Amino acid sequence: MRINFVAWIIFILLTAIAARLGYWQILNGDNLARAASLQRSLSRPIPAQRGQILARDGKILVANESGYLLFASTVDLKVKPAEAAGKLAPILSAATAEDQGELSLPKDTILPKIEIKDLEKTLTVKLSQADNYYIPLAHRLKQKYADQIYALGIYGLGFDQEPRRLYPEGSLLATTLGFVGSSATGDPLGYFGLEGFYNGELSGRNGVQHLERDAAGHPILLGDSNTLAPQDGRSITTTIDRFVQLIVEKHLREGVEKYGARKGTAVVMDPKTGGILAAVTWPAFDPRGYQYFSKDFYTDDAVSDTYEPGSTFKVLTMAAGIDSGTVTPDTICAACGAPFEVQGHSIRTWNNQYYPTGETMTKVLEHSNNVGTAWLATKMGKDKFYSYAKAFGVGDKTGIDIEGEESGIFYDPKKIAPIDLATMAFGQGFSTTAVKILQIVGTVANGGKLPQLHIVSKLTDTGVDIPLKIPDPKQVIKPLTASLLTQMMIGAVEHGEAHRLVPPGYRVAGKTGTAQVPVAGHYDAHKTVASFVGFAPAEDPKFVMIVKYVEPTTTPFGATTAVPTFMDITKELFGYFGVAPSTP
Amino acid sequence: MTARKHHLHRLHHTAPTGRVSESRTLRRLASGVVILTIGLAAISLVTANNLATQGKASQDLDQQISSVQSENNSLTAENAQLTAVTKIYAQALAAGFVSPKKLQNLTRIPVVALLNP
Repeated sequence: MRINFVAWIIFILLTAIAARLGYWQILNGDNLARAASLQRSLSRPIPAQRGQILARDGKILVANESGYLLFASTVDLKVKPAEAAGKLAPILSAATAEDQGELSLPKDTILPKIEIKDLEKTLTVKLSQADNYYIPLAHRLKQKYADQIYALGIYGLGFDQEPRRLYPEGSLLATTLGFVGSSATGDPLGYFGLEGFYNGELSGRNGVQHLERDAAGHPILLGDSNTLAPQDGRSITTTIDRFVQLIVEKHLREGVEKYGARKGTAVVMDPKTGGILAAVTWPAFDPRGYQYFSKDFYTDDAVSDTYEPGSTFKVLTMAAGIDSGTVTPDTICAACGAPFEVQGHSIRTWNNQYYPTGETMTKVLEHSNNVGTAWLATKMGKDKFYSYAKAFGVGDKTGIDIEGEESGIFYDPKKIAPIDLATMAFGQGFSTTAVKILQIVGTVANGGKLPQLHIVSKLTDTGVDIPLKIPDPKQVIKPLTASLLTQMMIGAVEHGEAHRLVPPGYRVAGKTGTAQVPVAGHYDAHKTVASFVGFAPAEDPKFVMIVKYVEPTTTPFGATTAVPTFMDITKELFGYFGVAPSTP
Repeated sequence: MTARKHHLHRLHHTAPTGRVSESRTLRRLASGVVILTIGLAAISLVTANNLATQGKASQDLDQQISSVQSENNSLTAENAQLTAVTKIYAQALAAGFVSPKKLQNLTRIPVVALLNP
């Protein structure tokens, strides 16, 4: 009897246990398994390193340095928000002040002042959010500031790796490099310049590590772990020469100030390869603190700013005229004795001087004669003019690898009236970019072959170099035409206003340009774009360069603004490239 | 009779001997189970300890790698900043260097002349 009773008790107990087990295992099994998995599994992102940007000598233009994102978990915070904020504010304030102190800012820039009390209030508000596991408090902190915060020992604060972009050369080459900001999802994203154009190559792919941990939080070696390794971004090697860049940037900055220009642009190219040696737009932003600058400073004017090129475009008109056999350098302009009448419009020279006799095509270029160029284009006809313009790629992008290149506006030949053809011949009535003009003149320096402009020569992926395929240059004018035009451009420099500025013993080929700025349907009499484009030494060009000032105020002409800057740079480049004088 | 007596005698003597043997076997079995349990527990403890130690070691290695990478980044950054052309230029100016006003290029002696004096 007693045995039976005990047996029943045991049976009931076992049934109860079985029922309870069934409840945990079957009814609640999935939830519990999930909870257990969350408790013991750890998943952490492994950030990919963004690729470096290197100069042609392999030196760093942009790299990475350690940086940290400071976050708070208010669930774990053991101190009062105000107390934590009081300890954090002085450190974060010092970190921001140091970052701001390193910036190259325009003179009139006033940075927002960081008051510690204001920062403390902001932090207190953030830290007072209830039940929040992840509140970002500061981005890209330097190691030393992360160490200081760690030393405070505030439970509930944490760090994530958030590398900082490092710019050893400061704001040098800023608009060409671009900057790295954040995408909508908070991931690093390149904007403008090379960072924007090559963002896909530079950014790589983040990895992730899943592992099981023990009660102390240490990983369990034989646990269920798997790792997706990060794929670091590719590094890019540019054609930029740091010394040429420094020389050009120094002179252009001085020029913008000296001539009271609204902005300035200068680009130097190797005519044989099409590789850009230096590119400057000034004023520019500082990539270390891009957020403090107006968005107007972000674009690279060399590729983005379209303008009427003015007389620098006469090089193309003359190239077309000679190459098509319409004229030779010695052909005399038959209409240069007076203003040129087209469809009731009167085309005048820039200084109202006319040459009834002996105005050869060489002289037309030397005098920058609008009448002579308009006469030549009219004689050539719009079809020939247009076919050469298209061969040079006018109205198209150069294809340079910088984000934000514009193509400008060049009209369809069917819509070109005789007056349009006449004005386009001397660079009015359409728009283009500085790099396009550089490419056109680079063609003359390159024996008639249109150089493919580029700024990146190779990519490097985990130590393996991947050279970029640069298309072979296309022959757009005959080598003889290029040679004749070079002589004419030397004449334009040596017999023009620029001749006193040419370094003694050297021959420079070039052309000035002073274009009026169209405003609301007419040309503003006081605003010009002053430029000079040329190459040197003319016999065996080491570089092609364009210098452009927008709205210079001291003097409106290219000959008195862009030419002095061009020649100052040229003198230094001759020394740097070791170019000996060609004449005693 | 003698045979039956003998048989009874055997039964009498056999029964107690069997119980003793059974109990000894059970005791041995129990001891074995206990020893096995202790052994397994010890092995499990040692293994768990090893895993925990190695897990910690693995984590330490991860931290070391991260620290070395961070140091490498810092050294790269320092090197890049020290060799920055803008910095060198500023230092040169501070040291009193000036840009040359006039450059004179000397004619280079051809290599052929050097080889055949």
